[in-house]
Amino acid sequence: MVRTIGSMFPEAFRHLWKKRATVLYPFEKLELTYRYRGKLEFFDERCKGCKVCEEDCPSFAMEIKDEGKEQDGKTKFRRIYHTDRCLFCGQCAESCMSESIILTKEFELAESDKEKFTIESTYSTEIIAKEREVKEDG
Amino acid sequence: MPKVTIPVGPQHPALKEPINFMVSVDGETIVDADMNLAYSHRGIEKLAESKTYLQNIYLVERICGICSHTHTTCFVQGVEELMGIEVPERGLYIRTLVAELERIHSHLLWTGVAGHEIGFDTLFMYTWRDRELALDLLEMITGNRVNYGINTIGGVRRNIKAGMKDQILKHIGKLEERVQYYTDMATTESTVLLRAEGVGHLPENEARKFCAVGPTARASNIPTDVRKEDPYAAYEELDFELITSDSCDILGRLIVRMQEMVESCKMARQLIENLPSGPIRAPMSREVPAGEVVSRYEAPRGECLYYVKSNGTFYPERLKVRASTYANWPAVVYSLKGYYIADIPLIIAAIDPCMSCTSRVAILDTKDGNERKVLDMDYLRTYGIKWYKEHGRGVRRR
Repeated sequence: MVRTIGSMFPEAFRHLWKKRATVLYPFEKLELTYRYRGKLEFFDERCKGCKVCEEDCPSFAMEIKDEGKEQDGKTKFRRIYHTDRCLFCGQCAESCMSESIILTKEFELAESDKEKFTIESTYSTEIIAKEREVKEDG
Repeated sequence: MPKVTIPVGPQHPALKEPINFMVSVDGETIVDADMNLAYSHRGIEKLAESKTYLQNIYLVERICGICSHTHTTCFVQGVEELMGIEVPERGLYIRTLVAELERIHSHLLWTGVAGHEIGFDTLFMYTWRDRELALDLLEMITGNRVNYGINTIGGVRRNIKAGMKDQILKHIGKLEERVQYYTDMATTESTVLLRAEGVGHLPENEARKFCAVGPTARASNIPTDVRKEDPYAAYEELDFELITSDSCDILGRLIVRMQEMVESCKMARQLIENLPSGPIRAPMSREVPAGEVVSRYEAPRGECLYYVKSNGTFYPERLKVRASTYANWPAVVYSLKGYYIADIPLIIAAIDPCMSCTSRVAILDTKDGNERKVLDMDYLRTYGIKWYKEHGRGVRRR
């Protein structure tokens, strides 16, 4: 075995003329892949009130509360999304049969006020039972 | 001269995670060693009993940050076996590809850590930079750099699109080149050889006796690998070599890991080139039939073992995890003996330890004769008030 010392010197010197590997965050940002899983976005008008997102969420970040029937026969729901509990695994979006949840590329979610981690919205929808579909790609 | 026992850890600058070694020394030489585990017990096994099988995938993924795919694959394999699901071939190929990329990134990370422990930080910087190539690929395929969330019961969640293949092959080509460079460098560079050659010696018979797994066992010339012995996922269709080394020291473990990375690159290439078409997952139900299963998986650190017991409901009755680091601890205690105090960090790091992976065991000593009872909240409250009255509070309010 030939023993050498400083065999990484040429490698280290070569890097003096190479582009910097890091970016100057927050002024520069890395490009995220299109499959990146960030903060959730909801399309309430598509929701069918099946609560499968709440059932499948591994960190209990989603709560869908049934608020009773409205005059037009629709059911009123209150959705509470806790961004501080969310793992951003995307299981809710995958389980959702009406595609009312999508994952955005938003990742800067730090807040100093704890209440801002809870996002609530109220909407009315018609409950329609639909067969669960197996989605091919996320 | 009397024997001196010094504690190394649980909080110690040389160790990245909490673990305690009681090292008896004679001058600078270690004559005896003992260890204490479980400083980061997180109660994951118990928590798993209160979550559904689908939710548990994301829980077990968080047992380890580096080999997260290991834990999910090992778990879903067991559940699929219980449910009798036949996973589509494309799903198995993608699962294997992610596993091999994970192995590359884990081994490169370890090489960097080993470089750091021997005082060769240049190696640490460059291996960690090249590890980004593997992480970029994982991010492109799964959406995340770590905790990929790609496995699901019945297959995988994300497909490999046609445009991705070229990118993956390009990155694998670069990785192969870099890994070859590190292999050549590590076996000739004096800085590495002086610290790693002949240190942490673990002979073959001792490694067998201590049931060492993974690269630690393979570096002691034991040809053990779950991928060969009990092929899972798509390993049966892949052509790869089982790497062993007969040097039985830290240099051997380094070389085994380096060459395994070359094999992993070869496997990733084969997987991409022969990727079958078809669905990536099979439909699954949420209820798992009653039964019990043991699932094995070759993690970057060695054999990982899962035991799942189902009682026919949505929730598992019992989940037992034996992470690979746990099997390697007795070998570390053995290999510490006879070496210098300065070698402790490197010998410990040589098995690629993951403390929180292993901290899943609660030991109950029933031989001491003390009475045991279940304490309810009211009892604890009264006990707490009484205790503080007797002992006083450590930090008083002003």
